[in-house]
Amino acid sequence: MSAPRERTFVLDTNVAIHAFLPDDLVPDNLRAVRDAGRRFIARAVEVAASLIVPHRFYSEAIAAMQPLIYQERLSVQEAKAVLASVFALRPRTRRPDWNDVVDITVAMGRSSTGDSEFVAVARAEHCEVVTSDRPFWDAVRQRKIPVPVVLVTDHRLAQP
Amino acid sequence: MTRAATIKKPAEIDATDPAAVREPGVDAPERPMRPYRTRAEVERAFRAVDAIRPHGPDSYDPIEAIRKLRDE
Repeated sequence: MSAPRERTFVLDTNVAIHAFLPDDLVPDNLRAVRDAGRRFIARAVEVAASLIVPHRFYSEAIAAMQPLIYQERLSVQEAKAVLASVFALRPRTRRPDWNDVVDITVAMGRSSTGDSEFVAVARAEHCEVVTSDRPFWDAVRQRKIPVPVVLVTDHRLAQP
Repeated sequence: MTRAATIKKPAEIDATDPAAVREPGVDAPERPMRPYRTRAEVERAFRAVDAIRPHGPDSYDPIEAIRKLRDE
């Protein structure tokens, strides 16, 4: 039997990467988002919440480090240290139903499927997607996609 | 010598040589970190990454990086 819905979340990659980004890399305008992500993740670990991701979470996290490596702002080993910290969250992976991915991508008016995979997993798990990507959050609301996507800055997430 | 000058470009790195991707002073794990079980453990991990001192302007936004990836 799956965990109760209120303790199960699909974790968007940007929340995890932001939370474990070295402090000196976080610009002032994103500090509140980073701090909210840290509060959410710390609380989720504390209450043993179930964090679920599509498989692409891992490739996205690694790819998110590449600009920093190419710009020589993080060494390869530093980027690996960040990724090791992210992956120690050990989110459970779930393959999204491809039918759902097609439907959600079309409904969102997108050409890419990245966001849709997270939404499709949340749909299958009957839980929310937690994201720090406001345009993604806006798109789901505007397109009336019947899956809850919540911004990590939502104060309700402080106590999952 | 500046720290940046000691960093190899990705194309110059031999991924089969562990020493090639290792730098002194960076506490990088030799094996996967064990899963967090307590709030204290994950908060310790936050402090550990904060101890990394990257160089360059602080304008990086992982949301944008991931959005571009998804739009490709």
